[in-house]
Amino acid sequence: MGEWKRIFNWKMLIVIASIVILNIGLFVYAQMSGRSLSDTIFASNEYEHLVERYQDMPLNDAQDRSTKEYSSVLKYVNSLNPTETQKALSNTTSSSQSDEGSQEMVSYFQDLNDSQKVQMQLEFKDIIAKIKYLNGYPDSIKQVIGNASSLKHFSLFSKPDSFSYNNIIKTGKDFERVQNVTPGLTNDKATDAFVNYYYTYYIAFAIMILIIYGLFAERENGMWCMINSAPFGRTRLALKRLLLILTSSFVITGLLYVSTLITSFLVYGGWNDLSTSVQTLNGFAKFTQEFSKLHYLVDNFLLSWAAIFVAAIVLWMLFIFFRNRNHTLILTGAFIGVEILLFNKIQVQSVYNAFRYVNIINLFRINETYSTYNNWGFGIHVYSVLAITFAVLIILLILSGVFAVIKFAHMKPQTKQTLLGRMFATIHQAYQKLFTHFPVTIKEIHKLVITGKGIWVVAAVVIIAIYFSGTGKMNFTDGQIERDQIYLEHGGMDYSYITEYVEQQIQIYNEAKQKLEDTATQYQNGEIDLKTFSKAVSNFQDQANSMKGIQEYSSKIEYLASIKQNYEIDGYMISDRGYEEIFGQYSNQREIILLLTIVTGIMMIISECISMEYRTGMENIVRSCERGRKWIFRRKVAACAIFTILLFGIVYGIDIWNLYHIYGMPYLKAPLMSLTFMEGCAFRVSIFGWMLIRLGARLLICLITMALAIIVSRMIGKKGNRALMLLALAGMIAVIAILHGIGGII
Amino acid sequence: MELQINELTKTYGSVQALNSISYTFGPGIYGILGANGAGKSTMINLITDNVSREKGEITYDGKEILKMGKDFRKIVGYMPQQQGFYEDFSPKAFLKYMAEIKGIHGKNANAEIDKLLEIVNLQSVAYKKIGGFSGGMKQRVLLAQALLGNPQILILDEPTAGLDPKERIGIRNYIAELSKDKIILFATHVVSDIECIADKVLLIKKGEIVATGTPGDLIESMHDKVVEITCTLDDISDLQEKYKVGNIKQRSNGLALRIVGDELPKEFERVNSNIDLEDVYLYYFE
Repeated sequence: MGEWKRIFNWKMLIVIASIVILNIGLFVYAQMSGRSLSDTIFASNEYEHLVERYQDMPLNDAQDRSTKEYSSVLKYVNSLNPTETQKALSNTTSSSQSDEGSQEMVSYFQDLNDSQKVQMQLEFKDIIAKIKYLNGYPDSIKQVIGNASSLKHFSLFSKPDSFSYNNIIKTGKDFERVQNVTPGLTNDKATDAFVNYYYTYYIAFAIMILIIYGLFAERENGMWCMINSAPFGRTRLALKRLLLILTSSFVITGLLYVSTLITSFLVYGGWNDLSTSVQTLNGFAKFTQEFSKLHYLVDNFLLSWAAIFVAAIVLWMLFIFFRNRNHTLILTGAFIGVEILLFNKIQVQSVYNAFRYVNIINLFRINETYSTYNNWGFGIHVYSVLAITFAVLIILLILSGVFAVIKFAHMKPQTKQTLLGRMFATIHQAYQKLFTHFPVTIKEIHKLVITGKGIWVVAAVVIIAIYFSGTGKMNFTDGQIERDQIYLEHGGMDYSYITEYVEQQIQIYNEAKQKLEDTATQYQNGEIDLKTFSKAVSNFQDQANSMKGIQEYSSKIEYLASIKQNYEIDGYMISDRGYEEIFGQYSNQREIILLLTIVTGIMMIISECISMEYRTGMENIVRSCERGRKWIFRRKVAACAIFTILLFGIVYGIDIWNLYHIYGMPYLKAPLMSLTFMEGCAFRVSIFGWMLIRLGARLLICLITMALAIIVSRMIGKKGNRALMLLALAGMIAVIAILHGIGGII
Repeated sequence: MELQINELTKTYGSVQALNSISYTFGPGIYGILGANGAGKSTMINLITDNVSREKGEITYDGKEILKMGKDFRKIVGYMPQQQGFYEDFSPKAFLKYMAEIKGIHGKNANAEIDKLLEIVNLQSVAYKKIGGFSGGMKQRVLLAQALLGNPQILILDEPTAGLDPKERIGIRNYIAELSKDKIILFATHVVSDIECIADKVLLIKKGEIVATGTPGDLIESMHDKVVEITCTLDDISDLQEKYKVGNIKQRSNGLALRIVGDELPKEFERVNSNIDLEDVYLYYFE
């Protein structure tokens, strides 16, 4: 109980609660995919409506109907004059259900606003893909079973004591378990989103690292000798700690797991989907157990917890062996960094794919291993990858647990330096030889980052920057992607190609429209038959289909003409979409989060470093020196400024890098008002210039934060009134929020 | 060379830390004795201008130190009691950092740092992390930084704390050598350190100087005020209630109790030939 109270003090509980909330926030952000929260909820509601619309039909019928209705929606979207299209459609004599359904769908669709229309199209695509998958599922299983049955007759695979033969037999048997599974259409987005979100497990492991780090505090605060010489300070304590790791990993993984799952259902709905077959999820096409989603989620939790628990025990063992907990932490961080790199860079088909499979990142993506059908062989024996993973986990757990307990019980606090200790000492000494000659300003930066342990805050800020600027990519429709390509190829300063194309299309459309009107009159007068009239309608619809594209172009042409007239600006023909994500209306969440993160990081690092000067008494020593007042203060401020600029450069460098790769940044020289959402902007600059201005404003905020942190920290001094620092931070956040509502610079 | 404090006063809330004390320091070693909270550190912090004063003045050669500013700080070397460091710095890096702040540059700084590391016997660990040092080693690093720049006024707060006897003697002897042309303020609880090297001793109690003089004078003032009696274990508690009891030593015929005070029973044996500064401390501070 004492160990529990020591580790899970109020501070730790607040940290864990904050991390759980953060994880929920990260999950919701990932689901938003560059959209606003209202659009995300709208999209999930629409998907639910579509499911209700088609779920009671046989899948074949659902596939037909959904495809037809989507086509109607697309036709509506692509027509310049939707009313004409509706009229033309209603003049046909076909009265099939699907046409009525299409009418109904189009009527519903036309009442949506532009953003909702885009979401609706995306959800339609999703549901059509889903129905197609579900429709094809039984046949795909039969095919696998059939293949297995026929392959074993081939001479190449028919040798009974070979891996190939045994693998075929096993595959056939495994898939026979699910041959009667017929997954139906359900709203399974909640489960789908949840099982494909892996940050829950990374975060759970990160918390376990914190806990295990806390278990070894005695190695630095001088209590190790006392504990080791106490009657219950060895084996019994080791077993207690083992139990603590077991229970805390369960509780923490469970807390994160359940909170994220509940959040997913709150976002996507479909609470009653848990009792349906897990094979409704596309990623489970090759899952060979007849499980409900609830059953799978429970299994997934237990397996994920087991993975986290075993990883924590291995880590605990390493901490025990390596004596110095900071060295172990650094090595662990380096190892995880390498694992992340290997996981992301090595392709599945690479000859080095073993480094991808046998990887700590993969360990925490148990869902991928569990849901995918994959067998490995040892000699002629065939085992599933999951079974192998599980066996490895058990072996690791037993070995690590036993070694850890034995080593812990027999380790002496006082001993010669370990190899790792000597290695770090050597590196440190070599660095110190260089460091000694660094100027004072550089030493002050070192104090911010290393002495004051600011490096951990920097790491957290960078991870947040990578996450928020790299995820949440907006999904564009096919039409939008096509149009963006046209802008790239034929847009810019000279957009005569597009202008001519638009004029040409309008002319063709008008001719087709005139022909339709004439044909309608003739049909009404009985001069032509239905077939001829339908052909004219169809021709008009074809022309109407291509009009949406030019509708956007023609709107743009009009806009560019208006800014020429009103502001004397020669705008470029460019797409708004990417830049709306970079600094338009869809950039708000990302930008606010990044700015708040860096501002908080700066405050934390600088305040900690300055309070360290007072805590250690160094402030008094320095102040008693000749240059211990203004001279050293100027250098401290310079160091803080350099550090702030560097951190700013890293965070926004990552942001710009990611945005550039996701959205591209075409026509940076274009006048800012080439973007329709920047009409009337007071700054007559290029897009590049505007981005620089915005970056400059953010840098200014960071430098103001830095100054505030210095001032407040010096006021607090050794009094440690953290409330004052929190107040200052709250003040900065409020200022940023206010500025955000003004001008669009922030 | 003269450092003078006049009617120096400092209050922390309702606590009078220093109550209008005055003294003149010339070249030599001044031992400052006092219990915890007596005002030693406050006086030191006022001289180093690390706290603001309410009343009084501190002058060096007639000039107010606040007006002298960095010219005064240039000649001060300060070693605090608190062992605070940048734990990941090596002694060499730390001393180089302090040298810069003290205005000592380049080759001069390097030569001086190497010499000081040798004096404090840390040259073999010059590039190792201070965080891994023992308390005594950290103390020596602090002393070395105080000696940087050859200051004319050296303020040492518990400089020998944590040092073994050999190291303590070495440091004491070194400080004694320095004292010829420096003002050295040596605040400590280790009475034997002051006894060996201090030219003058100040006893501070509750913010006031209660006694001052050479060690010899102070010891002389204890004439007929120190007795030693033989007693049993049962007598000790009674005696402790009545008198200021110092050391208790085991003798062949029982326990020998050392008592100090003004009015002591005549039957008790005076020990006028064997008085030390500890008796003086006991007399003033118990």
